[in-house]
Amino acid sequence: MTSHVRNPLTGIWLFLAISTVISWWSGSQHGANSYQASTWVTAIVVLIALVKTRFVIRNYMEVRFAPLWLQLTCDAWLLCLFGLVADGF
Amino acid sequence: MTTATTLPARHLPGDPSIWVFVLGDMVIFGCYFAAYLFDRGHDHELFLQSQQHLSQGVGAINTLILLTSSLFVALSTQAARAADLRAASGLLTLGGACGAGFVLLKSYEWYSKLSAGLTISSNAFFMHYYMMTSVHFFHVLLGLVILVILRRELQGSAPPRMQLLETGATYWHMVDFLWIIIFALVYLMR
Repeated sequence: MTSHVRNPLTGIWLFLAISTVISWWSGSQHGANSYQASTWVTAIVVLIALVKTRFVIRNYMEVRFAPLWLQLTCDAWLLCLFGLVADGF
Repeated sequence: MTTATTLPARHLPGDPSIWVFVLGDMVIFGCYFAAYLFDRGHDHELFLQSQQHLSQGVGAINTLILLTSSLFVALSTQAARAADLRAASGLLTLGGACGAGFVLLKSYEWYSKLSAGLTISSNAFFMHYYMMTSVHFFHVLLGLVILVILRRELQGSAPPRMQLLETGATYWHMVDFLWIIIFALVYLMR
């Protein structure tokens, strides 16, 4: 059990969980302006999601140990996704 | 730790064919995301108004559940590599339990939306919402079946096939990261 707590994967999970809560707080409705469009909220929420996704792909899926072509393909997909969102604003 | 010490410098996790599936699914979901963002760009106000009917809290809890599930499955893979099959099996069970929790919570969320009269034909936002979340939901169900198969592999009398364990784990982590993006795009972005 102690080894699981000290495992780097658990540290990454903590980072992912905290990021999720920050993202949730940022994107949830607060006060009277709750449903207004917000480039800032979108930027924060999407950037956090892409960083989290990259952490899952590289560390949990172990893509950081994979051949370079796979690492680059996954990063290219994330970049395309970011471009799609950025294009809408 | 064990991952770094027991894997070769360059190692493709799992069977190569799982990566054809994963990359193909990434393209398909990328197209879903593009269609959603395209429609959202054309009727931003409708999407914002509809978004307020979603349960961001339920979406966030489901994200935490899947992240935790992914952690258990990743730890299970490491434990199997270290030949600690008992721990690997237990961790996989915990991962599957989290996955089942996701299914229950997602079902409750759909039930509450449908009860409120919010259906797939309500508007473009809810069409995308139900489409994306239901396609993902079926991925989770398939993932749960795969986790059961992996658990049997760990509990068999023969040494477990690491490539099979890595293949199943790769699929499960994909289910996790697709939800991370769905949660951001559908529930949170404004």
